[in-house]
Amino acid sequence: MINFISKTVNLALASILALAFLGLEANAVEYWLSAGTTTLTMPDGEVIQMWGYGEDTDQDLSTVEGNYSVPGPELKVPAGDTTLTIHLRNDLPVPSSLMIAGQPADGTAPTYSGGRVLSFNDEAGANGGTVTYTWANVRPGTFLYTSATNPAVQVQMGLYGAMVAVLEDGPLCGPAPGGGTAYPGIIFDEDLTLLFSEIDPALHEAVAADDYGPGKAITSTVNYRPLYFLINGVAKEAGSNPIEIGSGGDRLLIRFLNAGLETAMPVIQGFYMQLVADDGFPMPFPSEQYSVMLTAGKTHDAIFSLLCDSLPEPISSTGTFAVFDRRAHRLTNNNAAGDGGMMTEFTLLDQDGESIVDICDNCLGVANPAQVDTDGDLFGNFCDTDLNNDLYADFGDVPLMVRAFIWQEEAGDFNSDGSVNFYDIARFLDLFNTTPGPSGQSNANHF
Amino acid sequence: MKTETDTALRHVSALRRIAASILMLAGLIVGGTAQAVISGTTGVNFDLTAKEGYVSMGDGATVYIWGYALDGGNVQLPGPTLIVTEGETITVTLHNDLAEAVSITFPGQTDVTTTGADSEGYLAGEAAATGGEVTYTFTATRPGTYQYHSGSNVGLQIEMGLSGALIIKPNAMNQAYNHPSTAFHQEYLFFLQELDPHIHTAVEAGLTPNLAERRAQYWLINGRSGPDTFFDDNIPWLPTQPYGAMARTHPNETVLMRVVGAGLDVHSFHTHGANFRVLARDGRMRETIPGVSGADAGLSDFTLTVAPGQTYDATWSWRGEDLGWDIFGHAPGDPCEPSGEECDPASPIYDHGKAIPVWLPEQQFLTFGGFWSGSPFLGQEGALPVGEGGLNLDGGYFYMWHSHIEAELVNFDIAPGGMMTMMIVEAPGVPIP
Repeated sequence: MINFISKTVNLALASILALAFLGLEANAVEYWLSAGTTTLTMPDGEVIQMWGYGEDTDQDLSTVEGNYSVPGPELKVPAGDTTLTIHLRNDLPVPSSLMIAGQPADGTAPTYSGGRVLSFNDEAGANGGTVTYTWANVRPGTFLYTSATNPAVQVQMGLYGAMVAVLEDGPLCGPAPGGGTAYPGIIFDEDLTLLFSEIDPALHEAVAADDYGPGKAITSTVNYRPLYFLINGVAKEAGSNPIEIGSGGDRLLIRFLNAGLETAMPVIQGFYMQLVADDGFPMPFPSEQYSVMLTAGKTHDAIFSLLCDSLPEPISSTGTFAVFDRRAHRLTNNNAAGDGGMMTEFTLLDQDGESIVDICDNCLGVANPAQVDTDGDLFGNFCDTDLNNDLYADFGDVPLMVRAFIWQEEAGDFNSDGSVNFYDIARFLDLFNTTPGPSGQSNANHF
Repeated sequence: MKTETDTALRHVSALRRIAASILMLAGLIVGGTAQAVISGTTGVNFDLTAKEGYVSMGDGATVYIWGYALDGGNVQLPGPTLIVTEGETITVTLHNDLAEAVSITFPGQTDVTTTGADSEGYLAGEAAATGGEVTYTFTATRPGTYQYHSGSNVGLQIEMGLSGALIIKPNAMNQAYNHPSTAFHQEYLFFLQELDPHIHTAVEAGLTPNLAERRAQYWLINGRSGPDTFFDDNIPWLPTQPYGAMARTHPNETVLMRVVGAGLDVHSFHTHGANFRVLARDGRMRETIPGVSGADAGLSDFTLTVAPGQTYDATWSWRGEDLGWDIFGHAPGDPCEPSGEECDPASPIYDHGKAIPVWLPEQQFLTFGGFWSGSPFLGQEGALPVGEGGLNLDGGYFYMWHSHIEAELVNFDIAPGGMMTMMIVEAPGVPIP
């Protein structure tokens, strides 16, 4: 028994060491995907036959897991990784494939039949065929991955997703857990993806019923007429959840992608953005705009500045603002009553629930609606027992705490109950030997 | 040998000269300066009413619209062009005569406050149907070209006509932004939008058309489709479309184009005659070094991609560079007018006294358009047959500015029309407007 435990521990240790070793040397990331049929239900109840990608979680490509989604899973290439490998199993009734526009794959070539291009790269055969692609020199940036086979049909059927590679990991300031460097000099605290696409239900119905193709009911996509419009695979419906942002840090990187066949015009109501990249290439200089022209197949990265001071008045109070397609005839779910289509909201997080959004909150993690900040250092009193402002709460602050207790000074009233009492002394002791904060006001973190 | 026709021609020509002189005189008296001013309404307090009405298309069709009216007057397409100055506090009060809630959103204005809203629309506080009222206040913080449009039932209400231009002028005179790189002599607005008349007809009939199936049939500049774009501002027979789109300048002047993508589709706005240079997008200068370099990062181009919701400022200039012949028709011994540059070998317009390198054909070999003055030389007129010409009193050069999506140069399938207008390069001294 002891021996067994010991063996297990040894094995675990070996695994950890191996993982650590891999972690240090990590220069390759591998994904196992499968392509297959699924459905999306539109807000008006219409069920659309879709094709999607899903992750093969047991990584053997031998079983069909059926977890296809539209868009497909976001493929992340961690910082430092330069090689990406994707294994694809195809459970569709036709051959399929995968490409990343802007990232040439190694050792793959277009597929021809009778002089006609069928696919831009190697295909996986219908009903269970597999193929493996490798990208040895992954370029950091935001990219679309899509089917490379008959893209006019297969992409609009739903075979698309986002592929994201960052230059460097790690937040450089602020309390955000994420963050990194997207492109040289383009640092972000958190990032999110907004992927735009459309659905023409007639086309999907024809493909699913094998009514699409030469001699059949629909012979081409020339009459493409989308009636549903999606952001991240979702058409707006009443009561749908907004996208939460502002968990910390003031630099939100928004990755805009258009997998549809039409131009989208994303606008974030009330704000300007700095456009910093175009098709995964950093722009020579940022462009300050409130709108993004997102043509079919395009990606754009924008830095969205989440400074409390620059929030428009209505937004700082409600914390919610609109994100929508300015081609506003597409804000519909095939003419169902009410809002629809490519519209959503951003909502600024207020994780401690005091109705002050985190990016404006001078003490995170606790409800301090009064937001008292006696010394004006952007750390609210409840988070700020550093009374001598040396950015560390320690013995140097004790005399000031004693004085505050005797003279009932507001700086020592951490819980803002009107008096400096034993509660505040307990708080002082709790936070002894810590830095002040955390404050959501980014300037507090930019010392 | 003289003929009766010759005499008649000379007679017509003389009349035209007199007419031109009268116009010139009128221009001098009324205008005083030779500078185009964008039509619109100035001030700090604006009173708008959303109401229904009709507009006329270039093919004679009448289209039902919803629009913003100024001070309870006519509904108009586009809404009143609001012209304000940097730093002012702007108040816009919106009344609603329509049967559904409306609102106004001001993209690019980041400190809009709303008072008295009856309800919350998707993008702005609303004035309730049939009699509601709401007030928006903002500080015109940053100069630039902007637009405003409805923030309620956004797709339908933009399609129906609830949009307009907002121009924030900097304190510096004759500059688009607070940088000398944005200086101009003439400025014009090109407010581009398109209409699907089926949607308008359906709305008028009380139906709910499917916006996803929208397909535009009319393409407009400043609320008019060609050739109505050529007419003056405020012509009596287009009472709900007060803004013309004909642009004029002199050689060597800088024209500021304020271009607004106000519709729901992308347009390619093409300038004949010369390239433009983009100064700004969405009311922000295109700068290599933000806040320092001025508008130095914009491309030189001849087709501007005008996307829905965006605005653009660009400059355009024409002076007959590299033509190899003298546009003024001077003989080699004539004085170097209007500028010495013509006689400077280092100048791209060094062509003084150089003859036009073609034989000018006799009239019997020509067909005539209304814009032909009878002479190839700037500011000059030649003999024209009776009944010909008449649209070019000052002998200017006409350049068509239009959507390069040629399918948009029609009015419900009838060409020419649609998203087209003219830029006229007038001889030096010809008063503008």
